[in-house]
Amino acid sequence: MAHTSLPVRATRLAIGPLRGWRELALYGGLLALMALDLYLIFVFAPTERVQGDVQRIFYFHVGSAWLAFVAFFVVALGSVGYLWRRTPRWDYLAVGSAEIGVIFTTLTLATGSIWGRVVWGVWWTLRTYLDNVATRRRMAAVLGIFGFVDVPIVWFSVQWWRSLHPQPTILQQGGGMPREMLVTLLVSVATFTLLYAVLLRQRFALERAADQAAALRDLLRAQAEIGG
Amino acid sequence: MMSGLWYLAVGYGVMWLGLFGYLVYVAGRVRAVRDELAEVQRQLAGRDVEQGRVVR
Repeated sequence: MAHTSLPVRATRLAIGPLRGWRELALYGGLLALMALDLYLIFVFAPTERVQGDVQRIFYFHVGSAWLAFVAFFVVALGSVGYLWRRTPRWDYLAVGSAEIGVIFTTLTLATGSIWGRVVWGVWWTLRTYLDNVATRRRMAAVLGIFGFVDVPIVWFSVQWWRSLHPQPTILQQGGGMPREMLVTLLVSVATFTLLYAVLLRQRFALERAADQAAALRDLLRAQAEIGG
Repeated sequence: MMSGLWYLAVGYGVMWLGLFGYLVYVAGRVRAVRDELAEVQRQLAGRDVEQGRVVR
């Protein structure tokens, strides 16, 4: 396969794999830094008095969280750069950083959950961060509204950006599919909707019961404190 | 064609079983929280009786 010759400017700007001593120095330096980091985490850093060794997760957790933020900042930067300059390298930057961001976000959540399981006794809870119920509910409501903005975009994206996704067929003029298919589809959609209703009923009950239990626990705790 | 259909059917089955499993899991959580709620209510009622308060 013949290689196409790229313009000099393009090759100079392209971010590619490093070669030779620079590559060796970079990877060697990274390995050395990782080894040093492990030494600092497990030998140099003191053991936290209350939490014990599990606190050492903190060094991985914060490092991963920092990288998750940086990675998605770079995604935003690359995305803006691409829309502005329309050159592929900005897209490479955004796509590459997005994947790394997903990995480090996963690591952040995983390490945080492991720490939470040991220290809080649960893998995850929002209550610990937001003790004020009203604040938590207000923030969740705002997030819920912003999250829904994406729904019509996804719905209409099928028409706006014609891609591999099939075009709408049900509301097509003259009928888009045979009656048997339409019936099957409608029954499927109805089944899923019923499943959603049943699940939501259970989750609603769960939230209400958990809220009542938390309120009663607080009351019990307050009474115990008053009673000595 | 038939083997493809078989995989599709298995896929649907696994998906439905997974969703059903999730439903059972949520129902179990509801039951556990309700049990906890009943226990806390019982403790509260016991405390109120000990302290001579009227439970409404």
